[in-house]
Amino acid sequence: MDDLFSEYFATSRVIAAPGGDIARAAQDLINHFQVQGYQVNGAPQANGGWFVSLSKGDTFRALLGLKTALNVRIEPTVDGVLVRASIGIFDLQIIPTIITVFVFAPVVFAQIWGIIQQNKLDEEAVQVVEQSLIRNGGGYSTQGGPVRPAEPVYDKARADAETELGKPVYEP
Amino acid sequence: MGEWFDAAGMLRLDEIVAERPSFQKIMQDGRVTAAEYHEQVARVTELLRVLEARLDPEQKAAVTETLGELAVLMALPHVGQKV
Repeated sequence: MDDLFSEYFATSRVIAAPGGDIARAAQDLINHFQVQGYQVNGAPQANGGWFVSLSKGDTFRALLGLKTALNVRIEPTVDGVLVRASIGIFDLQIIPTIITVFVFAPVVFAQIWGIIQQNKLDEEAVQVVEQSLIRNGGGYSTQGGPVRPAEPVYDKARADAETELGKPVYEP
Repeated sequence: MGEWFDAAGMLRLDEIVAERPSFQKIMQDGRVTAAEYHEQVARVTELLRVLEARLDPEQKAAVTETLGELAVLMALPHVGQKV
């Protein structure tokens, strides 16, 4: 069972990118934050996805001695590529039990998540991945973001469908 | 005994907990014996008794509310379905 923190302190987006290069997107994500001075680790997953963990300075304080982080999962799904940026512990895919049962963890995580959202760090991570996937394989976001086709070509059928869904429409 | 919140307003009770000898002992060997568990239960029970005796009615009401809501927070992950 996923811990609540990864569920409730998370930003997710599904990107319809059938040809999207997940490994490339993960590397782009790693590079993007490394140049900004973040401590970043990434690892491929058995399901073809990637797990990237990033942390830096005072925003990501330690909790019971464990460094907190913004953990980004990039996973292939039937609907496209799922990108989920959530609070976690640096370089750990699962929050240790000692943290999940710690009575004050929700308060600390909520405070850290507030700073993350204030700085739009979660959005930044998701957008870096999204733009990389679109750049390298085409596609568009199906949740939570504007439509960004890979090529600047006006697709009337897509535009009509997206207008119907209430999403912003790309126009040439 | 330190403040509950640091200068930036971040809750730092976890740091206080990490300094507790009882916590450090458990983390040191990663094992919890039945004796250690019962010892911790007794410690907390006694602390609650001592605390209650020291509080005036208004303070007791505030602490009771805090402890109660904290218990609810602890129970949330184990109760009901995530939606």
